Amino acid sequence: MQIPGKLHSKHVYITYPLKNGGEMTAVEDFNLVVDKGEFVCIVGPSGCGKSTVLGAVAGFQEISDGQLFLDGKEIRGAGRDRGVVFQHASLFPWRTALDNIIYGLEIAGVPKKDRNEKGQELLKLVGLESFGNHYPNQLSGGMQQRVNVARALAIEPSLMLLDEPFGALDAQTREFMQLELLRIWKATNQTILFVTHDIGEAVYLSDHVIVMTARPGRVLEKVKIDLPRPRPLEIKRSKEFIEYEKYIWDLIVTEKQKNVV
Amino acid sequence: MDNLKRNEKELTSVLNNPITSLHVKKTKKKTPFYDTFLFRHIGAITFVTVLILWELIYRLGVINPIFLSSPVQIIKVGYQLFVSGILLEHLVFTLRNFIVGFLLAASVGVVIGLITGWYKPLGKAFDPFLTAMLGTPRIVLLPLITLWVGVGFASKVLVVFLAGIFPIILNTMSGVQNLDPNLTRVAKAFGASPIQTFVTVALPGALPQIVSGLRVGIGQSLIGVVAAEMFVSTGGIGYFVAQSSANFNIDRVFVGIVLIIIVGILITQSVKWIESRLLKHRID
Repeated sequence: MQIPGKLHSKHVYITYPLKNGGEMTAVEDFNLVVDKGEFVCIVGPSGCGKSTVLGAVAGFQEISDGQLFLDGKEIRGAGRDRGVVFQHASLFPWRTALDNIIYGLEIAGVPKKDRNEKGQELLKLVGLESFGNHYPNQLSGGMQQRVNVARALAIEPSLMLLDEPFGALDAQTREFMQLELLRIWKATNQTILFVTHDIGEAVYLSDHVIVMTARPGRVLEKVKIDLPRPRPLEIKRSKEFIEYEKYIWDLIVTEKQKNVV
Repeated sequence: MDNLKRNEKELTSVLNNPITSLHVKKTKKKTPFYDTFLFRHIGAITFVTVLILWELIYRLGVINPIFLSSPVQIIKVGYQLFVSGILLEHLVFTLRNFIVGFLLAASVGVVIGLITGWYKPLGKAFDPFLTAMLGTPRIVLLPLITLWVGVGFASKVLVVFLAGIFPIILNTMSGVQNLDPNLTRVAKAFGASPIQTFVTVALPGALPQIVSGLRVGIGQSLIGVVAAEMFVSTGGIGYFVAQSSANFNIDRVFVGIVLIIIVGILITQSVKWIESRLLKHRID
């Protein structure tokens, strides 16, 4: 049987054991298809399990039921076919920017000359050409996340997973990083699954926005974002953009209220 | 032009005004205390002052010279002992005991610390033993050691080894145990094997703690070597100090003490230097 899509989530359940012996369902019947080259964002109220879903796709989080497929093969554990960009930059403080970027290649046993070449290429791609020899504590938050993105790109993954990568950045840097990410995404023809709680960010970046329900998290709606590309930052002030934002915002708010009552 | 001249006039009048000019002078002259010569060299100044006071007390005969030497005496006697080669002989003896013992402690300690830190059950199993040993002055084992290996080279090396190894093990172990879980997750995400994770995350991640363990261990080992030499030895600075004291040769006692202080400072400084080399990513 052919499994459609680059990433395919089929009736995925994720439960946590509780201290009192019971179980807590974090994610319930999660279905999703991400096609090759797509940019998909997952948004939802905090605690809805969006990061848990990403963790499951990354292979850190075991699923209790259902199936996850990447390129038609079932996901079992972490692997280099997925490039993960973590919420906190999580760079190795004792490695320079360049050595951080080529970490995955080093682990994969790529010869030193080749991986350094690749590293230089990526430094250029993320606009840090002259910062290769800097240690993470000498880089700004935005620069650290560029290194983080480059590190995930270095292994040429089949799918990029980003977990609120710009959440800790100030508003201006965040917007600029969004623009940069779209440029990098286009330049590398990557497929991206991106988790955020920032609705504007999701609308700006995505082809599709997956809106999740409150816990237990399910897909509430898959919203297709029909904005032209390339998208300049000014698009955020357009009528269509604001309408998308409002639509998703309403979905989440209604969902939240349902839960409170 | 007229305007300019008038301004000039005003300015001179301001400067000549006793009140305003005083004020200007004051703000110019006032440098904060932490910026003065006194403050910047306060350590050296205190040191020299104490030495002078010490010399004065000695010269004035306030304290019986049987019990006290003086800076000048120490330099004089120290120089004689140095020229005659006695001092060097004892120093070499001490350093040999110390270096052999400490290098053993460092290599064995780091390896044990890494293993016990990496395999958590092992660390837990040894924890009571390690904690007990860390809190105990290991010199108390000296009688037992001499009973087992005699009073020769081995006994001193063993004391130095035992004195230094426990802080090294414990620091290394906690360094590995307290790795940033985010970084181990990165290794996992990039498909690192356990051995790769150990080499690329645990080892460099624990390095600051390993170095601080070595720093503590070196101090303890130095204490160990001097103490062991005082009790069971026929050479070394510890022996020299104890022996001179028994002979009421107070100047020699002080020379030995000063020599140990200098050795201690030199060792600490070189550790600091090595530390700054190894951990250069921490310095901006």
